[in-house]
Amino acid sequence: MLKTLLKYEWKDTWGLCTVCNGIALILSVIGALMISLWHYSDDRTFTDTQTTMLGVVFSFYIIIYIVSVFAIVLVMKYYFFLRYYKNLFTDQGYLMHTLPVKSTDLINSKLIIAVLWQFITGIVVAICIVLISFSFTNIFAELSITDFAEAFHDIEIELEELMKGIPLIVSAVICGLISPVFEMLLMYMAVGIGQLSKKNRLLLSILVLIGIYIGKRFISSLLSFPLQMFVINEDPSLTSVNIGSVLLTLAIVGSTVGLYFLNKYFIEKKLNLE
Amino acid sequence: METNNSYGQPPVGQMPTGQPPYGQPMQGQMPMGQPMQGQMPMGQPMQGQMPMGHHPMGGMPMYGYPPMRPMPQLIVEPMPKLENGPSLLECRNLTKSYVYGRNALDHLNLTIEKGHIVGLLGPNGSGKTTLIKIINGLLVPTEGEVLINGQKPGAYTKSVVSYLPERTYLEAQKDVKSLIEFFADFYQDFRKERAYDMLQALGVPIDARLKTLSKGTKEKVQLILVMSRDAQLYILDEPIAGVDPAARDYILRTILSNYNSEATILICTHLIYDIENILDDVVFIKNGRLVVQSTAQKIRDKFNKSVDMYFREVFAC
Repeated sequence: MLKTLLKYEWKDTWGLCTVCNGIALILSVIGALMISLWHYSDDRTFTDTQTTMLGVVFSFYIIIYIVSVFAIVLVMKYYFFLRYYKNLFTDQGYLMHTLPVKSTDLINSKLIIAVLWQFITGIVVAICIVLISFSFTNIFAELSITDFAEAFHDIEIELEELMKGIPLIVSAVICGLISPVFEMLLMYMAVGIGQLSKKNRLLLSILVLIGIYIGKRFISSLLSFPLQMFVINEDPSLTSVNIGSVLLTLAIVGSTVGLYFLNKYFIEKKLNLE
Repeated sequence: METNNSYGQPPVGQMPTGQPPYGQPMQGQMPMGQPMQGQMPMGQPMQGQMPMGHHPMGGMPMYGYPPMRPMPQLIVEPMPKLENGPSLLECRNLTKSYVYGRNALDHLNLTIEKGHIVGLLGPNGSGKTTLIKIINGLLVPTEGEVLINGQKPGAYTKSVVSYLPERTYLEAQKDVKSLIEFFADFYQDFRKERAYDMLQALGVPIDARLKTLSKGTKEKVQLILVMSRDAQLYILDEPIAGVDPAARDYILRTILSNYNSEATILICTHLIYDIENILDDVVFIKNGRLVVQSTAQKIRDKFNKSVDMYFREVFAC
């Protein structure tokens, strides 16, 4: 049944997500084209943002572009938070919770699709940044094949250095993969706590989420400060950095697993569709 | 006569002998709003009884003290078990307490067997919907347990229970056709052809999005989706409340014609008069407790009253 749930979850979410990511890409391409046009043009009116109409439009576009990309990232994140709430803890929950599926299948389907879209959005945002940055610095115009070869050679040397810190790399990869899962499960937990209330469940969920973010920031700074002090002052070797990163990864993985079971508990034991 | 249960009642969908067609008053049953023999019309005093709102000693008006009514006799007769194995539905010591104090269900014990149409009746706030939600796994009981075919609410029980909530619960953006596909994908016992036939009979456009349909039509769509399954237990919470009287007849006929004699239908409604002719059994709940469980026929025979009249007496304010 997980497969069927995934199918419907994808079907229900792909429209909005594709539009959001599509807008980000289109805005980036237009921006990159405008910048490139300016670069090849002798007319420098684009840069004169104070006096020329084109310059004003150009700077306005760049502001809109940056705000839009940020907004899209936020929308993509909170859309899945709202969807989880609406789908499982409002009237729609009467359908979802009476489907012949396990509670873990409900969580898994929502989580997998949400995380998948977070990755897709991450890739789209990276493409947008690369497009705009390249246009600004005009690297495309100036780079030759030999430049690319040199760049790859530099990366190779960097990698050789980095290979000494394999645990660090592995930890970074694991953290990169698991962080979106952790973030989504935190949001789900906020919804799970919010639905315990009789009224204003969404508001309470949002307040809980804000509280969680503040708490998370506080805990992470509390933990990272002694770690940084240790690494910088006491033992600046790669080994200590490796140990630190592995410990951090274990903490994130452990918290993610804990959050998953907490959300399962909320659905199985504390479901409250009054 | 062929019977399908231990009460000697005819097969489901067929009226007991002497019972008039659906919608007609039964023998010994007065049309709605008319008093029965020996009973004063509603709102008029009985012999020897002062009119409500007057002091028994004089003409002084009396406020807030309605005359005492004798408590009608209550019957609690659990359904007889027809076969070995677990009952279709069993509530053991079921309690649901809310944080704000009141017990919606108070140590409720109830057993329902296969092959019955049961009316789950009670005044507002008696715990009917809470019970239904617990059976469907939408609420978690504070104490006690619910078993369906011997199993607690979970993926299996949801595959054999077809539930119609009292509200619109389907996504408004979806069209009727995609909802049918959705149900067919998740419920193995869903019969698409049956759903399309019913939609056609009720004139519901299959390509229409739910948000474009009227409230009554949405309710019809929901009922069709629920009744298009070959479930073992149908739980219908207020199935006819939001639809016009003409559609009510169709819906009740739909319920009867689409349900197999092995299944049980649990109908929760306030419109007792409209449905009582299709009920095999009735369950009355008051303040979260079971107060009456009996066959509908026994109530009629024993009290010479319709279930509707008996309900009014039991829950008289």
